[in-house]
Amino acid sequence: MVFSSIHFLLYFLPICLLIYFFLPKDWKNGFALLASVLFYAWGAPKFIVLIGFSMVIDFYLVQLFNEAVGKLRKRLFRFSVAINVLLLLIFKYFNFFQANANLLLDSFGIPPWRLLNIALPIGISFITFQKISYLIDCYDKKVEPQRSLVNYSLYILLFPQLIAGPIVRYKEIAAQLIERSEQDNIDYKLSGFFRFIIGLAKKVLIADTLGIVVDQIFGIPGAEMGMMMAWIGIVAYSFQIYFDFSGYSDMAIGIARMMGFVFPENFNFPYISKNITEFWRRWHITLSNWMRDYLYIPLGGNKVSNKRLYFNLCTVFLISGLWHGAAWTFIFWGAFHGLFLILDRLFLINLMKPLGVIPQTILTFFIVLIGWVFFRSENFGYALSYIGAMFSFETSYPQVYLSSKFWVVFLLAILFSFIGLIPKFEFSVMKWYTQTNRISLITFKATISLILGMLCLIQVFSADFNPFIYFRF
Amino acid sequence: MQAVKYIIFGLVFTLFFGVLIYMPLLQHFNPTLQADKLGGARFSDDKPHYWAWAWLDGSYQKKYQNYLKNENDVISTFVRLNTQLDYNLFGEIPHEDLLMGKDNYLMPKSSWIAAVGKDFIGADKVNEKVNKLEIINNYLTDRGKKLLILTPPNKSAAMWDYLPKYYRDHPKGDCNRTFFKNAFKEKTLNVIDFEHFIGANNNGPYPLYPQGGLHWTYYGYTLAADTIRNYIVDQFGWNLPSMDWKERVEVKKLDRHSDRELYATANFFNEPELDSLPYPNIKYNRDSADLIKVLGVGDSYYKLLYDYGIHEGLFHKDSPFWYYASTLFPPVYRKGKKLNNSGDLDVLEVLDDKDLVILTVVEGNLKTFGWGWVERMFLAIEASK
Repeated sequence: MVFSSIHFLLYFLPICLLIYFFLPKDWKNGFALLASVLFYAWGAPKFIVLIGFSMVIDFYLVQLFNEAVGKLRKRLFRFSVAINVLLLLIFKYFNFFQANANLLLDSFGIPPWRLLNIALPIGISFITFQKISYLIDCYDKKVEPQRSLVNYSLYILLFPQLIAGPIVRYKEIAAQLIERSEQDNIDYKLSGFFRFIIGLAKKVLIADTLGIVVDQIFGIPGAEMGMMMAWIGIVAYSFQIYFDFSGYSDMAIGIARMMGFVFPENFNFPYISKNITEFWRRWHITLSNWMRDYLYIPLGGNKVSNKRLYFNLCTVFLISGLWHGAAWTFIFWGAFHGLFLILDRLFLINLMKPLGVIPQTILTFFIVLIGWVFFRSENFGYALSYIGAMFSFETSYPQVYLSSKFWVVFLLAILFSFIGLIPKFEFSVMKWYTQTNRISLITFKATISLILGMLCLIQVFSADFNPFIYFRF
Repeated sequence: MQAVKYIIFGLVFTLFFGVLIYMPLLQHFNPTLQADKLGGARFSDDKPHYWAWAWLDGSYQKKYQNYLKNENDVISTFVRLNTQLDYNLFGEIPHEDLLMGKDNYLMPKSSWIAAVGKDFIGADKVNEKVNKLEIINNYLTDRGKKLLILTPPNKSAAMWDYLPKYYRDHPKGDCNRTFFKNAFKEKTLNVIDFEHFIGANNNGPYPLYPQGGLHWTYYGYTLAADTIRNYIVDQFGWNLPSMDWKERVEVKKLDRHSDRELYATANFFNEPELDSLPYPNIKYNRDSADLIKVLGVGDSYYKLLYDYGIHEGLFHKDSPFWYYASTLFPPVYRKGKKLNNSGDLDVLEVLDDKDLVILTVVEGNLKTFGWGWVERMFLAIEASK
């Protein structure tokens, strides 16, 4: 079930929240888990058994290695991580590996394997990372293993973050799974509702509108692409993916707040970054944090030689690219960002600093745009011809009609993406989101939310089934 | 303070999430909020029946969502509001195949696609079709019969200046219409392409095309029928019934579905006020006229000529029409059995007692010229040799 579907918005969510609000405290987790299973089963019923089975295995393996000592503890831990990685490899990457192996076999004149076409369980990347987070946090003794299977399952399956994050590390939420009366109040409900509507508006009113044009532009054969179309397409896509993904995160954070959970923030005006290092502190923050805590630091982090440091960065970003999708374009996208992170450390940040904030921001945005071309393109060849078109300096009649609505939304997207450049604005936004201390402010936010909400409903009802971009990751 | 916050939360929660509950009540008590059922085939699924495998592969859920969109009156209100908002705010409509042109003229995008040549089938295919048509024409001529081809332009092509700027300025490539026109000319087939007709009448006293329709206005059909009649009289020598209508044109609010058929699928909440249209009252003088038997084969352009009674007024009562070369108007009864499809008939036998075949293919349909009739005729003629 996607957040911007009629079933979710007008049936599942209100019924689920109403029941949840009025249930006794001890029943809330059990009910939230049941609702989460239903939520997942609506979209991907055949995988719920697989996910459930792997969760039970994780849960008991953690109990086992927590009581074990020495090598056995380590082996059990490694075994539990390996199971999760293996599941991810099979369900997300097997088709990719097989297709590439077939290409290789073909080049040696060996007949290829028959493709198995394994279906991808929705949200498996997010689920796997959360499960690994639990295993590592428990192994490192940062938290006590969860004693209740219901609570553990709820951590993995809690529906607001189930299929597209934010990636909540276990240690961030362990306490809330047991006790959250402090957050279970009207202020959290109000701010959660406002946040949810803002997220829905970002997704439905901005991302989806831009997405229509982006799909049309990326449908133009590379050889026929005009320079202007190529630029409009990639800039529009950069806003589409930002408002789509951050909108989803806002909705997740908002729903969680209404239920008394506090999820970590996932975005903070990423396009105002002055370099790629900063970009990754503002874009998909929970993924960056996960990668830092569970991959980069265990590899040695900063406390190693320069060569090893650059190797670590490359590894982290290649894996990050592969996590986003089983295709060479994603791997290249990861490597591309990794390269700029290394260049930042070598000289780029120092070189760009004297230019001032605005030129640094523009240059960083330009680098991000080039990366998005690989991220959005169906294959590597198309990405190269697309970039060729961006710098072809050839004018042709625009192949895609750009409506007035598109331009208005495009300008709004620019405004909301870069408004964080205004000093202090970046920090006041978050405060404004959660402030519920004045009735006049609450009334104002309620009115705006209702107007935006109704506009979203109008759009949702009128559009066909419209999945989130991050669904496939 | 806390109580007020609870009230506000309760209100926003109910107003947003409860829209499917309170909106029908509001609509019940205030009919101005009610919206008609949606026009067009936007969400086409019927109510799905539960089937475990369909649930497992996700198709049940998707179908159910589409079914909900069709059935819920609240949803039709929102869809119509969406069109209204886009129209009022941006002067556009959110429709895959409709463009909002100048003066509230709705233009089918598919007809623009044909006009700029985006559906061009290539010179070889055009020539292949027209070569077969030449053989059909010769076959009919040898038997004292005639073939007349009508190729009306699309609304977009005829009203180019009314298109939005992007579509108006779009470069044109090779298109089916030009290639068919040249090939017809080369084979000296009898063709009315209506270009002169459109040029002469586009700035006439009454519009040839309605703002909300895909086809000609009833007035436009009357003029087109007059053109067809005059062509047959002049070129084939049959003295068809005369049409008397010039003094009897009544201008009134839209009278026929075809005058606003595009608006019906655009799904406005409040449609813009559309201009009144002229409706001639045609009288056919059939006394001492040649009532020839005609087989009409064509698309919706000829179907309206048939529906408006013009086909019946000008020709013998035994003059059938094959809609898209397939559906029979009127149906044929053989041994008590009702036949609706031309496939059940012998394509040559039907022509035994006919004097004229009128084949009508509008510009947008040239890519599928004849819908199999040309090929069927060609094969039947070859087989009969």
